[in-house]
Amino acid sequence: MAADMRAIQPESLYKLHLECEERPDGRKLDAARTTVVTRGGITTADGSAFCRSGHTSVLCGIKAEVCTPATDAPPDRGWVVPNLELPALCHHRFRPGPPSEAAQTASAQLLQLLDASGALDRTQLCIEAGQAVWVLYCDLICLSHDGNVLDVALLALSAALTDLRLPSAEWDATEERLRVKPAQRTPLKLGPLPLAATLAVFDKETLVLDPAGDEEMLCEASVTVAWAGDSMVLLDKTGGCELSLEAMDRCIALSKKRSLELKKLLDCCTQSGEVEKGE
Amino acid sequence: MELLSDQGLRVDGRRAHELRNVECRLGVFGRADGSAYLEQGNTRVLATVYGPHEARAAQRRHDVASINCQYRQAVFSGWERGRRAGGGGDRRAQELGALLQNTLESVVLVELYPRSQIDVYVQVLQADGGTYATCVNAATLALIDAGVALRDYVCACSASVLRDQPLVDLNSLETSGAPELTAALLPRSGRLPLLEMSQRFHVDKLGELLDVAETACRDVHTILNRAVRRHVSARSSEK
Repeated sequence: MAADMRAIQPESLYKLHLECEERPDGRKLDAARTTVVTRGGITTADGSAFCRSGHTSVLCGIKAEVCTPATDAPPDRGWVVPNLELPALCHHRFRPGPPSEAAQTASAQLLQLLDASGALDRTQLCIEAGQAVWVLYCDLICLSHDGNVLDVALLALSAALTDLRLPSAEWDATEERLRVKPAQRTPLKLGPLPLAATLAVFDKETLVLDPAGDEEMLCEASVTVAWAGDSMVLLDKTGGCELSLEAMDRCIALSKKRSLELKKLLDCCTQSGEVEKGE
Repeated sequence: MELLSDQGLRVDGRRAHELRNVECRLGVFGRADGSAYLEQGNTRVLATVYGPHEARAAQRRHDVASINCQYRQAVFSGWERGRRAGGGGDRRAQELGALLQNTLESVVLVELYPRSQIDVYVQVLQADGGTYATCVNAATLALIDAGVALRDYVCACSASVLRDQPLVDLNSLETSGAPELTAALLPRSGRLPLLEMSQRFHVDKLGELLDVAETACRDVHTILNRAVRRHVSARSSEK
């Protein structure tokens, strides 16, 4: 009976769930899905991390390459190029083809979050000013899409940056070439990394943390708040129904709490190669 | 560096006829109809199946299902950073997708699913030789996990001959040093739906190479079969 109702009137069924303050997967309204972070799974990448939250999973691989800085760019800064792919394999609604608008928007947001948090000082990526800088190509692949990909992707990116080990490189001024020693590797010095929490809004007042795929489809609006340490670095509510200031305050409070949980998860992950489940 | 030492050991310590370590898991993603993750040595591949579902008008065939395959290689999967995939990927990826479709069409009972479409997506996460063979194996497991009716397993393996010694399951270092044959086998009937080699090779050695490849494919079949049975019994004991 519930299955029939889910097919014909999913909104009504979901509203019934909300009235009982329990979501279809058994979570409370302010509970996130079980999140697992694993670093260093891909040996061909210079840094990698895999992050799964419920059925949403994202794999991030970072490859560092050397590049000459452009003439109109600062000569002593490297750069970071995050790119999120939402391939057809992650969900049946995606078709093979060029990157969708959702993927391109998310990639741009990830770069913006990294810049706004100031976690990575680009001068670290400079090998020799004006001659050689590191470019970090951060490729994220969503392997399974069940809602809230941006949060999971950001967590995977942050974890992969902590896993990244850059080879030591020296610029030989006399021969005007670069000497790279791939065996000697050093980690990056990172500031507080950005971590996001997304909430879905129903009936203009009910907030639901970490929406799953079906919840994301049914919600009236969605709010994403990202934190880096104690500073808020992103507040995103694009379109949808209107939200009262009181509800917005609740969003901010819930997202802060979630970002602290994610930070704890990321820190445990930093100490060992693999981390056990965290809520 | 010697690809094959005098004692008959390869660079990773294997003997000539030994396969790399295989790890596989079925049903890794609950949301897809079928999925499988397969590792052969350092080559890691993920395969996902959606379907059978209603076919789009352009691909609908009135009497059989149409199989749609896509092969993608992650940008960070190789030792060199790969070219960024534009639309469907570069030409090599499209060629491999078409090859995979032909291989699977020989084994899926398409007559049972008229007017539908089965999507098979293969994503290479890490490439260390024998990538295409691993993709075929992963796709087979994913189809089994999705419950699509199959005539038989498709088990693939790569093989080569180096200084008159046949080798199986090449890694990327060996691929660059010796011609590579990829063969897929249907174990029950002993037929080969796929045979691919694009380097120079002496035809006298072909018979020996095919025998060695067939034995390797049968070894792969044993491993995959065991994994499927383990997965099915675990699922049925959960109920």
